[in-house]
Amino acid sequence: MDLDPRMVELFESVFGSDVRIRSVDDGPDNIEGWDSVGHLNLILAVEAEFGVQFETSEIADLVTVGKIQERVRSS
Amino acid sequence: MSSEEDQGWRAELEASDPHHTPGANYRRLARTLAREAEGLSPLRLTLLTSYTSTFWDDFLRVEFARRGYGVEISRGSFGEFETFLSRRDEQADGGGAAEALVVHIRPADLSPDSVARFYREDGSPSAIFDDVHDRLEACIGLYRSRTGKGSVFLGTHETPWPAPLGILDATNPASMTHLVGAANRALAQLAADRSGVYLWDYAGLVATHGASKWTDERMFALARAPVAERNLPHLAAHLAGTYRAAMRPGHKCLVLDLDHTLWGGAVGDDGLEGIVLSDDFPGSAYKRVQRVALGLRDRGVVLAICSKNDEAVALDAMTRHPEMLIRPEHVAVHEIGWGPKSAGLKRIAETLNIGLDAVAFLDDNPVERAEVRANAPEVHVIEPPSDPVLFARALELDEGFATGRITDEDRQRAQAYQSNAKRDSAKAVAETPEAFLRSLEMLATVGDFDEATSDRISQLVGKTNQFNLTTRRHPPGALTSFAKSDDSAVLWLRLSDKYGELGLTAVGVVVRSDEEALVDSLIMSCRVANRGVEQAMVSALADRARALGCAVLVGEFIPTERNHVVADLYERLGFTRRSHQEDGVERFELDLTSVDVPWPPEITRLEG
Repeated sequence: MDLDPRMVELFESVFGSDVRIRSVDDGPDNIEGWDSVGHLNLILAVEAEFGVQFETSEIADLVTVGKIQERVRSS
Repeated sequence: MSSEEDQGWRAELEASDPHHTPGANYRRLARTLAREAEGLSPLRLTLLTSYTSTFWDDFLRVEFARRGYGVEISRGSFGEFETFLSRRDEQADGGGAAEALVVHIRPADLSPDSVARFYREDGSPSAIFDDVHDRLEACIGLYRSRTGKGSVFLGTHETPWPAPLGILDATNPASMTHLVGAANRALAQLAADRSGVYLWDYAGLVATHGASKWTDERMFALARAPVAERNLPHLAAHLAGTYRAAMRPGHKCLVLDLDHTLWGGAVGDDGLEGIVLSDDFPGSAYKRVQRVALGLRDRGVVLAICSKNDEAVALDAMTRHPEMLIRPEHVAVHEIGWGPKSAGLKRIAETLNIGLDAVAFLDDNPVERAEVRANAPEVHVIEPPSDPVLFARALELDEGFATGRITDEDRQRAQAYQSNAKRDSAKAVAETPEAFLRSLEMLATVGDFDEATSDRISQLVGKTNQFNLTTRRHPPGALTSFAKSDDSAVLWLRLSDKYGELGLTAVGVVVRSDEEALVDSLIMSCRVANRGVEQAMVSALADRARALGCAVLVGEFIPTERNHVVADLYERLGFTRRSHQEDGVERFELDLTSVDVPWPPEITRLEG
C-alpha cells in the first residue's frame, strides 16, 4: 500500500512538521508524540479531514498509518 | 527569532477565530507559540479538573496568546486536587510570572451515582454538591497558603443534560436542575467573600454551545475527556477571556458614532424625520444598540459621541427624535464635527481624564474604524459584523465590558462624569483655581480599610493606571493584612461636592519600617484630579505615620507608561528628592518632626 500524501500532511499537522512519515507501518513506536493523547488527537483530525466517524471500539486498533489509511478507504 | 517569524504567528493569530479555525491550525500555532512567546506576558496556569483536560493545552496556548498571555500549564492527574496543591510549595516560585489556578470538579466524576442515581433511596441529592463546595473552599485555602498571590477560578456546575427527571426536570422545584442553580449561587458567594476568587462559568459555556453537542461520548469513554474537540476552541476562548476580563481594567468609556450606528440613515441628508429608529425592523436594530449602551452606562461605563455631522443638527435629533433612547444628558462628552475620529477620541479621553486605552469605539463604518486603529492604536475598536441587527450583540459580547463586581461608585459613575462637565463650566467662570475649588464646597471623609470598603479599594488598587504612584497591584488579601497589622494601614478618602457624590476615590497604604514610614501605594481616581485630594491623602498618611511613631515619611514613584502625571507629586507637596537610586524607584522624603503637609483648605474634613 502506498502512502496517501493527504494522510502524510495530516500526520504532520498533528505531530509537528519535524515528524516524517516514511512507511505505512509507522506507528506509536517510531513517531514522536503518538502517545495516548496524540492518538486521540490524530483520530479526531482524521475524522475531520476525511469526513468519517469511527466506532469507539475500533479507535484503539488503528495504530499504524496503514491501518488508518485502509479504514478510511473502506468507508 | 526574526521579526518576520514574529509577524507570521501574529498575523495567523489575528486571522483565526474560535468559530472557524480547525483544531489542526490551533496545534500548529501552539507549537510556534511554545517556541516564540516574545511580547506575551508570562502566566503560570494550574489546571485541576475531575476529568482529563490534557487535550486543551494547544487551544489554551493560542487563545491566551490572542489576549496577550504566554501560558505555561501545569496540572495534577485527573481527580487530584488538595494533594496536588499541598505538595506544590517547592515549585511555587514562578520567577515573577503571574499565576492562576483553575479548579473544576464535576459531581458525576467524583461519584457517578450522585447524578445517574440522583433519587436513590439511601442518598441525599444535595450532599455531593456540598462536598464539592467544601473541597473547592479547601483548594482556595491551600493555594493561598502555599503560593498566595494568584487568582483562583472555580468552574460552575453545568445544568444536567439529560436531566434525571427527563424533559420535565425543571417542573420540579427540588430537581437537579434547580439544585445546580443553588450550588452555583453558593459558589458565587464563596468567591464574593474572598479576594481574587472568580467563577469560571463552565455551565454558561456549555449552554452557549449546546449541551447536546458538548461531549463526544467516544472521547469520554476512551479518555475521560468530556469536551468534544470541536468545542475546544470555544472552551479555550472562554477560559482565556474570563481570565483577561477578571485581571485587566475594562473599558471605562464607550464612544458611539451616530449615523448608521445609533440610527439608520444620515441625519444630515435625511433630516430628523428621515432617520430610521423605531421598535420595528429596521429601526429596532439601532434602538437595541441604544438600549444596550444605556445598560452599560447603568453599570458605570461612560457614554460619549463621536460623529461626523453638523453639531446642531445631530444634537437636535438626539434631543427631539421621539424614538431616541440616548439623549444628550446621557452623554458625558460629544465630539461632533468633521475632523478625524482619532483626534475626536483623543479629546474625549482628555476631557474625561482617562487613558485612550480605557476607551472603546463603536462605528458602523470600516473606514473610520481603520483610521482610529491607525492613528489612535490604544483605543479598543469594536469590529461589528456589517449587518446592523448584530451591532448590539457585538457590544454585549465584548470582553472588556465584562465585570463580576458592581460597586456603588460604578452605578453613580456616569452621573458623576455628567457633574464633572458642570464642574468644568464652573471652572471656566471662576477667577482663580483656588476660588474654583472653594466654590465646589468639597467634603471629605478619611477612614481605614474594612469589609465595606474592600471591593472598591481592591478595584482602585487593581485597575488605576494614571494617578498611581507605585502601581503595586496588591490582591485584596494583602490589603487586609496591611490593614490588620499594627505596622501598617490602608486609608481611603471619600469625596463629595455640591454637584454630587464622587465616592471612594483615593487610597493610600503606609508601612512602618523602624523610624521611617513608607507610602507603599498612593492611588486616586482620575475623577478627582487637581482637586487637592492628593494633598489631603498625603496629609492623612503623614498623620498616621506620626501615630505609628515615625519621624520620616518616604514617598516612592515608580514610573510606568501611564503615570507620568504624578511624577512630581511629592515634590509639589514639599518632599525632598533622595539621591537617585539604581532600582528604577524614585524616592522622596519628608521630615515629620519639622515639616507638615497641611490638610487643603478648600476641602472640609468630616469625621469618619
